[in-house]
Amino acid sequence: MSSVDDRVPKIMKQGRVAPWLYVTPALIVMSFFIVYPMISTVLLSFRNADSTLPASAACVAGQPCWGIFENYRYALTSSIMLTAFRNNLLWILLMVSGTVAMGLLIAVLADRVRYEKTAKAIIFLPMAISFVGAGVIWKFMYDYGSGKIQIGLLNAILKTVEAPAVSWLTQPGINILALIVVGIWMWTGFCMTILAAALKGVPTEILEAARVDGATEWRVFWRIILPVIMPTIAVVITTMIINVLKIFDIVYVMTGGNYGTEVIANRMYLEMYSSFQSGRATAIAIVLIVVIIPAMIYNIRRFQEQEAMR
Amino acid sequence: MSEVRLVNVTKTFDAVAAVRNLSVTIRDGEFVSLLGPSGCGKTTTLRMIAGFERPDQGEIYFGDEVVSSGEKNIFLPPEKRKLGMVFQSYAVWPHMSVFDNVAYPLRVIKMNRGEVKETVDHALSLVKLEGLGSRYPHQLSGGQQQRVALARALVMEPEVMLLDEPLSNLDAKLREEMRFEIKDLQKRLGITVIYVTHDQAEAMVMSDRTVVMNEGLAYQIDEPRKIYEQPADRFVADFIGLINFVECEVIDERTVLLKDGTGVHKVECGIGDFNKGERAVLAIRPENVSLGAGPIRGTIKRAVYLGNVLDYRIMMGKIELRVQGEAGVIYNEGEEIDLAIGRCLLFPPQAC
Repeated sequence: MSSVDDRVPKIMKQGRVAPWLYVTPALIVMSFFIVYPMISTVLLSFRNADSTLPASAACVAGQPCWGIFENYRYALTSSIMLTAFRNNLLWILLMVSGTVAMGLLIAVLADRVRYEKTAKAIIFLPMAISFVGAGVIWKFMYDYGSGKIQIGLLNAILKTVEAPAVSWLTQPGINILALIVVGIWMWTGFCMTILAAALKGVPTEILEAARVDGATEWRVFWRIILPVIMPTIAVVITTMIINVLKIFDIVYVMTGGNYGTEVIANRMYLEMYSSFQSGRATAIAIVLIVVIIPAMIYNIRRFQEQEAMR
Repeated sequence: MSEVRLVNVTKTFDAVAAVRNLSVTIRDGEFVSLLGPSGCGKTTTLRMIAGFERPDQGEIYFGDEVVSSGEKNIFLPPEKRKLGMVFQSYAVWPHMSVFDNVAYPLRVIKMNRGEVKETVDHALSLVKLEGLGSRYPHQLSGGQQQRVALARALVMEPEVMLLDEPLSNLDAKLREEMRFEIKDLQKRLGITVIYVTHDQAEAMVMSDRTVVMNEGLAYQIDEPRKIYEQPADRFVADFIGLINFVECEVIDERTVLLKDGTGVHKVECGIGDFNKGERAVLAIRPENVSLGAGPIRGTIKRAVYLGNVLDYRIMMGKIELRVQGEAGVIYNEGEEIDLAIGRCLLFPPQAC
């Protein structure tokens, strides 16, 4: 066995140390910008508002207290956070299904028309805008004026058909939906692009074989196309779940989190920079990470499976 | 009526004519192959019959019904044509089991479960895949996948079946086996089959008639034997089997003159429509040159032992002839040998 070793020229042999030397710069950057902040966040979540004392110092007599996990008690059980969790759940259900379904629909339809590239470009365009920009645009769309003059597009349309104007962003119930619409508007292009690529990867002969056997287009779609691209759809869904859990900008720009529209990321921001409760904010951050982890693991596993199939 | 008729069918892709003025009638129960080199239009023709392409001109009839018409804008989509089709890549659905693959067309027409099972089992037994119903395509070999595709095409008992080079992805031995199996099935079930291939042996073995195509045109539509022995055209003669082309001059009703660069030889050959003095090209198949005795003297340039025959390159003056001799008598390189030219054909000299 060592004779093979002897025939390898010296310059190609690596010692034990060499690989570490190559990796060290990346390791330094990573530990500085990722590992250290992570550890610091976890540690801060166990301390109180200005991190002078352990978190248990915030306990109030006569009320439930989780000791050193006091910040986590706030993060998991306070009514404000529960509202945020509920809102995030709504966001996930509606935005993920909305973007994936719309993305799939457009991918399938655009595939069949001559102006395919133009259609796809138009749908994808919103992704090029920053979230903040989108928030500002849609704020104008949803604008509600208490006087006679409506500058918001939707309310202006309602006015022309003699319907009463709606305060889209402040009315509870409608306002979350209004925000989710903005999210769907932005991210459909992403889903569409990935799903369109998956669609093009379906071998034509499989579809022709189904048609020759008498299947209608509807049947071909549900029984042949959809099952074949299911792995891609699964990846798209989990990626969107991760994206939705991190939603912040849309909510912050359009409602500031008021009127019951707060989501987890908003609360984290407000606790940190409005209320200066670093302990609570970091606890919320950790909760968010823990929630995302299963989705990430699933995503990575799926991706590795696909790579293995090549 | 499972007769398929093409009348003057033309199909153009971006200024390139893939199929030009093709007219052929495929009779009920006939096995017709479309044979030709790559790009000759055979697959395009098949796809037009299936309904995946529409002819620009001409009509396609199934029996008396027009299924595609270029001018009159009539078009019956593939799902309504009641055909069975087998693709080169098999096109079996990877996410369904063998049983589900074969049952698919039956489920489309909403057959009840008991009948489906019976029919699928029967189809699987026809292609000798009984018992493999619960396997998935990736668990099967190429040959088995091809049989699944075949079973799926047969399960609806179609009157017409289309096969697009179905055996090209199989190894040589399996290919031979499957040829006979497919032909057997076709005869037993009386299905009209249209078969696309670039493999002459396949076409010769399986077809009742063959359409030899090149660059969109049909050069000859005939039984395999006639195509081999009486090719209509220089291209057909060259494409099918092996052949030698030698320039010659017609002397009288039965004789032509070969100039081989060192001398002249008279060869007896039917001259057909040629006149005295005309130049022509003599076409001789390797097996039609007899070795050992004859008026022509040649030298063996190369001899290759192939087991059942010997493949010789013989120099007749400056002309090289490819000759096949039987395995019993072996002539060696460098030997001088007498030869006689037997059956032969005449073609016009090349246009260029």
